Amino acid sequence: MSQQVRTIQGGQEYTGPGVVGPEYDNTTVTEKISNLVLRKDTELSWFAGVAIGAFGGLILLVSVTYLVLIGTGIWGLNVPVGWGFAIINFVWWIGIGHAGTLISAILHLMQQSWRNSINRFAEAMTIFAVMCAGMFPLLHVGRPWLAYWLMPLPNTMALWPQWRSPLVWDVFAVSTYFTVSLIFWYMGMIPDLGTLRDRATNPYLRQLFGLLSMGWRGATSHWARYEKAYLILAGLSTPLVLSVHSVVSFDFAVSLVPGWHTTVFPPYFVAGAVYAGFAMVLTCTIPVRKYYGLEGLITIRHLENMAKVTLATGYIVIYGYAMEAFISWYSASPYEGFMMWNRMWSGPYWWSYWMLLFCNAFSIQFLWFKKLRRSPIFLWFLSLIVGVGMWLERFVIVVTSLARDYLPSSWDVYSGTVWDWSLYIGTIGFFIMMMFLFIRFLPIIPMSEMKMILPRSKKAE
Amino acid sequence: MTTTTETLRPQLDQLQKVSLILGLVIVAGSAAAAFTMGQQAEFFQSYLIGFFFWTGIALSCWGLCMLHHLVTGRWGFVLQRVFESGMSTFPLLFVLFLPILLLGMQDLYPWARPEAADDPLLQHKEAYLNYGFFVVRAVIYFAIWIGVSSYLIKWSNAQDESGDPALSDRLQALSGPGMPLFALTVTFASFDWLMSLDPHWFSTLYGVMMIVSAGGATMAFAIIMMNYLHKHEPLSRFANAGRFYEWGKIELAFMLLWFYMMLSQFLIIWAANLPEETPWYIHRSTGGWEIYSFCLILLRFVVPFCLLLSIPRKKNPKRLVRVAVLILVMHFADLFWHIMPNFSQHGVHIGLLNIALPLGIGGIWFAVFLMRLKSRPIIPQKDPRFAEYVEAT
Repeated sequence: MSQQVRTIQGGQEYTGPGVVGPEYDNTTVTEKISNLVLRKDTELSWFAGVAIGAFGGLILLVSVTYLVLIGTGIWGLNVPVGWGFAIINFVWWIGIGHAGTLISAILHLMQQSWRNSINRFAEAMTIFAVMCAGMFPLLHVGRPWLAYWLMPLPNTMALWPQWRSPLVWDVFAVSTYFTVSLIFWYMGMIPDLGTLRDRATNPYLRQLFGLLSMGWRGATSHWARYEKAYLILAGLSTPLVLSVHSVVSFDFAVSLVPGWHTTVFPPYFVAGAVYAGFAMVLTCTIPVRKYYGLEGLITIRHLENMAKVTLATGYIVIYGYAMEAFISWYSASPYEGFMMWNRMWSGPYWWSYWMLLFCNAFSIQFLWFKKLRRSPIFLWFLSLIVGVGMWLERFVIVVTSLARDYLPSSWDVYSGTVWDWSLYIGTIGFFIMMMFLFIRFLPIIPMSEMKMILPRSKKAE
Repeated sequence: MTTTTETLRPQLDQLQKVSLILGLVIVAGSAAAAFTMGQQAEFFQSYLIGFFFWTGIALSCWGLCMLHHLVTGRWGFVLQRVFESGMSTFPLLFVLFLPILLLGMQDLYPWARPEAADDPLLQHKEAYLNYGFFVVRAVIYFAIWIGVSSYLIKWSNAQDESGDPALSDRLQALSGPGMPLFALTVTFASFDWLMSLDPHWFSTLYGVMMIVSAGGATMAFAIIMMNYLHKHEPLSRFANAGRFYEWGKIELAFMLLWFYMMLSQFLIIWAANLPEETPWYIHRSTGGWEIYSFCLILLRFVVPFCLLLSIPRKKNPKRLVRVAVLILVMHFADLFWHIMPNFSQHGVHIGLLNIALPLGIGGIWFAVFLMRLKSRPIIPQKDPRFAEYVEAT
């Protein structure tokens, strides 16, 4: 059955000068993408994918239920390591979302039109990743049903959030981020939803897409307003790319803990987020484009460009490591010096630092070679390594710094329990499930935006 | 279109001559005045501001030129020759650095004075902050800057002759590894030359902050140059409102980044309130410096940011250039703020020397810049990517 999907069009690698394969024109782009949604038969492998994701989702459900019943004591947290997996995973997930915003907002403002075929996908990723991220701090507060206390609501106990705490800023940064990303994603989809409404043969489906497309008729006035709104949203999202992860980095940097308190954190976290995010876009798009025969829309050139961004942001991350290491010595502060020595050599987690360097500093050097940048299989494996590397980076920051803090008498070793892992794996499952649902029910590549770049791509041929 | 805009030629010759003479006279005059009046320390403080100001511009020219080769956006082709002329001044800047290296060390850097031997923290840093290694590092920085930039200029010149598309690939291939070299050398140069003025203080963000602030100043400088040149052939065909709009947007991004870095560093240090780090800000928030700091944020970020939000302003060279001038002046004020509180912690004193000497160094620098600019075609017209660009616009 999947064969049918693949034979609609394409399946050929395209290496020409344009950004769209030669088999595509205005008609075939619409056919190809809308058929992915409107086809009647669904291949078994899709169900298998959703099932795997849903199984992870069930693990998530069990973990959350047990956590709410018993409390955060089921995690491996101790004194002094009061922040463990929950914060690591929060930062990891929220970072992954950043590629979506960068692609959809910043690359749009910079008129990088090649982004048009991957932005929808990346934005969806952003939204699901932020959903996963948001769960962790909510659960970490211990009583998630009281999470609204984080908001500055007038209440009888006269409780007020501590405004000097970046954790409170996080509440606003992340919720703004989620809202703007969701609106951006949905608004960008409206013309495509209109197309799906017009092409759907099933009356219920037509009703549904009709509702979702909000009366889109493709009139000139509609397009004019759409373009304007898109530009404004892109402008609003751009500072969010910087602000969200900067606030996340403040969670650490405003403290006194050596290894957390360092001024380079905000830009270094932002670059790390974009780095991890682009790796995740590669992880997701490479199998999807292969499976659904989208090689003519998400071309090798797209993959190469993403690989270049990964390399560039990876280098900023390496720069961050270098600054941390150098200044820990240059500062002549015994605490900073000990922190770095402990992180690299004498501490219980020295292996994690070297694995991190292997994943984030060594492995990306292969991206200097054009041949490897243009190899989907290589990029896919590398993107997994980067994903692991960025998780390790947060592990190194959170755990090694806390486990050896100012008070040697309270030093302790931390490791995640089964429940730590199950919650993490559960969110990955939830993410996979959402991605599969997205692939089946919504247009994964923006048809209208692809048509905008078709003429120029044809000309480049 | 053989060299630069023919109609401007006499004007450029004149400008070059005037700025060179003025520059030499001012530098020689201030040196003579300062040394006879025993104000050697004040001389070198002002000299460092001027040196770092123009070195920052030359360095950012280099960085932006490599960025342009890597991403080849529409914004870059017209600016490429300005950037290349800027980065061809590294040999001059090396010569300009020699007075600091040979005469000014003890006046500027506390770690270079004999008293440093009594300071346990400076003893720890002695492996890095010592005169010999300082000189070696400076030589390494300049060797890298001159080496990489001269290849970029050489290949770009060769392409003006042959139009060989392989040279574009080569420019791109060198710019890739050039970028990490740029970031590392500029970072450590700012650590050495500026951050170590207060050798106890440290900040991991310092290098990035310097890169970003010089980048904004360089875009402002490029906008000013383009405003001067764009009315004449051949630039009048290429430097139109659309380009100024793009440069304005890049400037806006640099404004935001500058404030982002300043805010991040301040917030992190203020919140943690560690005795190792706060003195740097205390020196900049007492004795009149608090008003200075406030004005710096206002005029280096708030005002230009608000002005640059307007699309008509960005498209109008005449209006945009006023903002660019403000930014360039405030970049000087920014460096003043970085350097001077290390010496005069009891109030803001802006002397004649502080202003004259950076201007004088600027005169010499600008003359060499103009000499390079007018010696070559103002547009990389034979770059095959430029042909694509012309077709697209």
